[in-house]
Amino acid sequence: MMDLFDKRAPTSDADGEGYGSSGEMKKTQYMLQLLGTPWDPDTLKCILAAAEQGMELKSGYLDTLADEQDSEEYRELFEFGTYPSLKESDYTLAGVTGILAFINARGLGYSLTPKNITVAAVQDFWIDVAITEATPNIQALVQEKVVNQLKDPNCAVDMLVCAAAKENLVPILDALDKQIGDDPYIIGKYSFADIHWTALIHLLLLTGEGADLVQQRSQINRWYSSLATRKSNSGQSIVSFSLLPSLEDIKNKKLSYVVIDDF
Amino acid sequence: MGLFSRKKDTSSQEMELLGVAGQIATLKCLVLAGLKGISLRTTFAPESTTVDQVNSYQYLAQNGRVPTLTQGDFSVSGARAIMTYLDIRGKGTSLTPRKARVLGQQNYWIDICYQLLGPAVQAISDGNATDEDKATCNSILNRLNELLGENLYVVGPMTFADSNVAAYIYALKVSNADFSQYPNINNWITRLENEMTDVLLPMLTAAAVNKVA
Repeated sequence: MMDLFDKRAPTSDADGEGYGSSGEMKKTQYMLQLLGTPWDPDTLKCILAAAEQGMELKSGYLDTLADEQDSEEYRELFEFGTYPSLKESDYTLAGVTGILAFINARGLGYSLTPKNITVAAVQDFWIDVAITEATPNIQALVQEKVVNQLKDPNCAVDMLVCAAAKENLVPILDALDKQIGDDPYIIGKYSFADIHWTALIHLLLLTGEGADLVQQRSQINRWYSSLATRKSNSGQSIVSFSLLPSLEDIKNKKLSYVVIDDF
Repeated sequence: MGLFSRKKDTSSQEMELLGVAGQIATLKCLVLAGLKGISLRTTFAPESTTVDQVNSYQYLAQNGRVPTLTQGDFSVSGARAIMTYLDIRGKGTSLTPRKARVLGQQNYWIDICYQLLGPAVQAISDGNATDEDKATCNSILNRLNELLGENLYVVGPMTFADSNVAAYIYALKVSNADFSQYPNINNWITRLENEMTDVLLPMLTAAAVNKVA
């Protein structure tokens, strides 16, 4: 019986073509299936991580605008309705923290979690800042400038909400800019901290409210620009950054697949 | 640093935790320290008007971010980072599961704590819980009670999920939540306390009830 993953993110195309159909096994044993939304930073983090770690992934839209996460079909899979959600063969999992760790452990690249204890703690601190302080403000902007228009094209933007969110982001982005300093990545080496912040800065820029916030901060600007050409953590030629959605993708509720061609 | 000089080893220096009594993030750090046999010199910031039960840290006017852990010249804030640090500095092997699927389940429960249990416990602690908050809390506790009837710990082996979830249980017990219908959760808390160092247990109790000795 098909579940929501197989309906929205099928591992094989309608004509039977697709991963594993030729009988050739790639290094990754199973295709991952992801459900989420293109304006959800957590969904984007999962796609970035899969590309970085060389895990092929098909993604599908979960209609959270219609509260599909509370539907009986979804709740049969995930009793508390949390998302994004992932399926690998007979294993299912919901929530970004679990999905990122699972992809990291199953993937091909070196671990995105630093081995040095103090560096690992610093990584987790910057992830915490992303979740605790940046996310609520960026999500407020995304809600006002993008999601509300998807629900109702005539919906007016609350400029007070946008102004407050932008003001709140100033000290947070100042601190991030200082943390990056002259390093190529947030804690020196590429880590989960970069994945969390890449998704957030991307959505911030898509709202049309973030250009000045980012461009005024030279280190964030340099770091973010460099990601556009950075090849994956697992040594493959895929650029995870290229899989992030455009505003048009968001309007079309379209999520990218992760396709690995150079095993 | 000179050619023959050695980097200062801070691992044997005393660890200091600055927290807030009654704050779940502080409780998480204390539970994990107890499980890992770490002696923490703990100080509680003066009582805040609002204790944040949702996030991994909160700001206090006089103290900056809390909880904050300091050892030597290293300092880090937030339950996530502090627990990562304590896990490696403490006794025994890391609580991070090696199997990808168990790791995923561990983090699934950590996400449930932050996304659902935290806001519900905040409302219950503040005395303004709605029926929906109570229903969310009960459904999560029911599921945990079922799991702990099958497993010794939340996802099988002892992991970070245990120290995360336990903090919310302590906070709920302080709010006079009735746990008589969750016997497996009670037994699991007893198992965890049996694993903890004797020194930290009274501190944990004090931290939970927001009355620090």
